[in-house]
Amino acid sequence: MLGYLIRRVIALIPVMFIVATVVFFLVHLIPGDPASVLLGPNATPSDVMKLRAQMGLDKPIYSQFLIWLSRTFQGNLGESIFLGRPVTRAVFERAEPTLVMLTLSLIVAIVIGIPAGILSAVKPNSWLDKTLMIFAILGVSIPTFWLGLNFIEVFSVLLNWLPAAGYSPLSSGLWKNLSYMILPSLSLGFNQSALIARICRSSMLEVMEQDYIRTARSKGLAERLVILKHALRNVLIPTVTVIGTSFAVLIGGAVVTEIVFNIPGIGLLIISSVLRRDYPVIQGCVLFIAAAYVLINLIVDILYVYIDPRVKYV
Amino acid sequence: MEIAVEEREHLEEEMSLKVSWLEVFKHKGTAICGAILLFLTLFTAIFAPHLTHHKPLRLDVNIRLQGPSASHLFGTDEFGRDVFSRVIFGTRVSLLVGGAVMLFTSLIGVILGILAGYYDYLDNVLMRIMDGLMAFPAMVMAIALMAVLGPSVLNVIIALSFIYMPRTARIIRSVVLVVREMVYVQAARALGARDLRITLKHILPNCVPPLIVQSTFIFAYSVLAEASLSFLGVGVPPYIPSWGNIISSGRLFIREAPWMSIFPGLAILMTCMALNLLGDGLRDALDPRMREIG
Repeated sequence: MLGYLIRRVIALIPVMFIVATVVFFLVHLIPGDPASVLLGPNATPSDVMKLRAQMGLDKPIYSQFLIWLSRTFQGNLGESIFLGRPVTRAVFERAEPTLVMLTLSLIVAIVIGIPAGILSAVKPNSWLDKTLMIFAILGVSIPTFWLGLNFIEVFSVLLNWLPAAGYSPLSSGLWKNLSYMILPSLSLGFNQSALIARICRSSMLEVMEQDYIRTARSKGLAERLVILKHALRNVLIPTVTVIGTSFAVLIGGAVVTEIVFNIPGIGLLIISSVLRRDYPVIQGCVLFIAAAYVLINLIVDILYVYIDPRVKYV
Repeated sequence: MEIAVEEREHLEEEMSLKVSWLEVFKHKGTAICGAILLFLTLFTAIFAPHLTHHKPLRLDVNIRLQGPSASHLFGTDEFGRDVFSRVIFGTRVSLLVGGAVMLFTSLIGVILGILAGYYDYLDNVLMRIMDGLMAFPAMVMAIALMAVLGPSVLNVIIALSFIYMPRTARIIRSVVLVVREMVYVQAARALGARDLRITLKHILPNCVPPLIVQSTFIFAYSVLAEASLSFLGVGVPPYIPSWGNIISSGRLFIREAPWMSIFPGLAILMTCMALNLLGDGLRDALDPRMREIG
């Protein structure tokens, strides 16, 4: 297990290297000179020269890259052009709302998705199965930001039950925090619950055909126990994989959802940085998110070993 | 003896492939639904100017924020523009982006996938690069690319092609890895066929079914992603009527004019549902191995 873990972490090195390379060259894709683009048309040539030197743009590209790389691996992502503080600090200040929302929406996705998938697989082609699968197709086709807007329309504007936008930090109380997070997490999580439900259903259908399920049934075990004790564990293996990929979609969706509900998280930071052309912050956010995603996938791989003891990593 | 059996199995496989093309629409009601809906969307995009007598860009402040009525089916927006005609014309942007991304990802994905699957020495390098690119959540990468490239329809197509291409490349590679070990490919090689001939005659045809399935889903993702990018203000420039743009301005008037966001949202929902239904049907018929992936 430890050997596997070490190998998995070592395998991450080339991936993170490519991630860092892509993020570095992102800014160099800007047509023209980044420094003059950043400063706008009214900048004096001496300002541009100063920023060029500050950004290291006057050095040859390979040495720029090496400097950037070594700085990045020390956790220094540079200074924000507009916020007047290090990018790492700006990112961490905004991390809480995003992390809370991602966690809650992942819970929403799992709590709706797995039971829905199992229920529809228990009686395939029943009306319940058909209804649930229509919802699943709707779920993967619906734009999350539009669903969020409709939630605001119904639950905030018409019913006035929950706040339409904003965020209250965890430190101000859990309930208050939740009241702001319910609608965003529901609209973000629904989409992924549909995906999880579909995977769960198809792997459940497959598992129910297996010999060990027949054995469990023929020894007189109650159907409920067959499903919960014998089938569920095997259904979870492909489901956990999807939850890993779900996370990537959730992060992307989080950016959009933060705009809809005006939540001051990393997504709002990215978008406002895009509109202000604050490239160091964009680079930092993208790098931070990619690293988080790679880490999540590592955790998913490790979870496998616990869910499925047959998996032996040699 | 063994070779003969394998060959026959393969022949049957190939024949079943041809039959199943028809079977898709015979047995899959949902796939037919999807195809019909998609056809309607395509029809709307092509004949957009004939479906409405309003101009999508025409401003008239006297009728701003009016609710749905007989003359303005979906109401009007904050500048008095007809939302119905904007949604109709938005179909063009969505299908253009979706179709172009589908084309580019297929083209580049097939080339990279075949190179990686066929030549061992390229496999490791190409697949590590693909892993690296896939380590970015798609939407985040798309936003970052759009930040650099600037908002335009072409740039949306470039950005989305870039982020979805690795998926296609991976799927094609996995098909090639299986097919190149097939007896008939080795036989062709033994007969002295060149790599290019083997690729075009024996490997490429096997890539087509999974490619079609994957492309249908990429089409659906792209429609959603373009709408999201435009909604965020980093996609299609605001003066072009696209579904995401209409919802983005509708968001500011959610209390006074909910119709501004409801109708374009329904259009996105319908188009993506059509593509997902079609994709599901095609997958069940063409690529039974992929069924469990969902």
